[in-house]
Amino acid sequence: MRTNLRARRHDFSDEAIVSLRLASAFALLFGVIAEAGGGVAVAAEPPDEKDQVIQKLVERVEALERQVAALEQTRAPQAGQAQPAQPPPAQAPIAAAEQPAQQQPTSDATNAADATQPDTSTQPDNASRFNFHGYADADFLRDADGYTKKFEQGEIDLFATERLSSHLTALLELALETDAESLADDVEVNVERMLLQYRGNDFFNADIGSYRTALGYYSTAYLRGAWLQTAISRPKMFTFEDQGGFLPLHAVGVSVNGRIPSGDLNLHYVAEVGSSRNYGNTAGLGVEPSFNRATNLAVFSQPAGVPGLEIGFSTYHDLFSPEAGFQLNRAIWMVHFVYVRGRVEFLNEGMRIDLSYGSLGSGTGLAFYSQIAYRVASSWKPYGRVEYLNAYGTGVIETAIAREYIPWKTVYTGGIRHDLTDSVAVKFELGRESDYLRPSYITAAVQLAFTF
Amino acid sequence: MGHILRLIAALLAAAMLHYAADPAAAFAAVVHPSNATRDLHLRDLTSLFEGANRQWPNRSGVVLVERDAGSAPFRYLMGRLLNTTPGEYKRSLQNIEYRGETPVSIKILNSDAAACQYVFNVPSAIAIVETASLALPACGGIQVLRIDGKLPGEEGYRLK
Repeated sequence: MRTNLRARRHDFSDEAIVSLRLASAFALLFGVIAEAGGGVAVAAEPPDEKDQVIQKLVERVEALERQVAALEQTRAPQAGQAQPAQPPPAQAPIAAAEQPAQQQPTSDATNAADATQPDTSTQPDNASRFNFHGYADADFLRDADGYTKKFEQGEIDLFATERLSSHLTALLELALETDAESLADDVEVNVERMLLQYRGNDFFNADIGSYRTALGYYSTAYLRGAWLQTAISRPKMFTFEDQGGFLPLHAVGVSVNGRIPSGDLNLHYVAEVGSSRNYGNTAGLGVEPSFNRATNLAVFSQPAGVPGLEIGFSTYHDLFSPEAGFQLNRAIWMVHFVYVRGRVEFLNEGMRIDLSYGSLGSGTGLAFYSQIAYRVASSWKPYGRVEYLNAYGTGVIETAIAREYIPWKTVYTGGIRHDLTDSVAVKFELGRESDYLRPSYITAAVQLAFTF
Repeated sequence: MGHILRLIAALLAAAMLHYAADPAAAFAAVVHPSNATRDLHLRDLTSLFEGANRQWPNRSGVVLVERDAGSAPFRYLMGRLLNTTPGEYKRSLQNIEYRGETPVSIKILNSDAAACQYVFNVPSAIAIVETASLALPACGGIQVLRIDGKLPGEEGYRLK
């Protein structure tokens, strides 16, 4: 069949062959000049990148030569035939091809160059690249904290990466938190991530700087950016540290990650050493800024046989100072079972957190959440989520920290997301939260989230 | 209430029709002749266009060549192959980048001829075009992939 399809060629004119020969000669000439160091851009690159450029030019010349040979073969049997009155258009160099589409709905990730520039198009991964995405949202919240109703600007998340070389990338993510803004200078600027990423190979990569801790799934997939996540609210266990959360979602240090040779199991690892954000605003007291020996090891599998499935666990240990004078041993174990593919989004995570401080006692929290969403029609995605947490303990830890720091018990959330365009979504959400320290209450929220 | 339900049903039907590919059309995955890959499982093809796999076996980065939003190949890609929408597709691709992983490289072109021509010029590119377009001169110099061992037109070929 393929042979038949390939045999269905049109005739080609002399001009087409000549143009291909010229293109071939030009590419070869360019390669020679580049090799001689005449090209400033090429000369400035490291030797290995230069070799890659030359290799690709050679491949391009070979491809053009093959095309010329194919055209000549096609043309040879027709030598004795009369020329058509109007020869069909030849397969012109790509400069004469149709223009790229004006509308590029998924072009944010586009890195290849314009089709009218074939030489640069062949090297999408070699050139230094800058990518930027912004995320913002505007909300109306009713009883989100059990007391208030208000319009809220949400947060502005600015995410950018710059490829510095074939192995190095700089990543910066800034969050402008306007939710508590009552005065112009109340806007907090959080450096969510600031990383120098080394991409060695599939099995070893390193991130150095301010990273998000690889605790479970949700926090790594949807750290910030309301548009990225289906629901309005995050699972309660992933509340940010500066909003009273008890999980260390951010740290500064070194994170290495990669694949583990495991066949179709497709195992990955993440190992991290650093200092976490070691404070808790719920307690509202002191901050212990010393090095808190945060270590984390995560292993997860993305089985090749079930695309979209991810199963993993992580174990995290550090010293935690929710109040001045306390430096608790904190240990966190998390497991997750996630399936995100096609219409379905099914997220499940479980967690155990242990806090201990010698003779002052200990506290334990057990929590899980399960969220399911299913897209109906083209752009509506209803979702529901159940969350549960039980905190208990002994001694001072139980009374002073565990119950006060982890006050909630159950949260039921339901809502719907509607994508108005490829970049704008509106969400409606209702929830019911039960706490240990106050009566249950109903929450409601509307959010307009977008990316730019 | 009945009017509302009928309106919702009509909207759902219209939306499904909008993203449904032409049932009579068949599609082909095409790569550069120098690409050593000649046969792909359907799930591996899906994995490439989902961005889950961003490398060829020789470790070169995959460049996805996609058609513009209104085209039959794009509708097939969204509605049948990936079972997603342009909005969700964009979200999943941005999510890959947001997780700190290597971004997906995509080129969007407005004709199958331009897509074929692009694949011809970029050794690591892969495109989905209509099988009818394989007769175009621009598609003459590229390689048609077998999908689960079948070429377009063969019994059991799945890209349709």
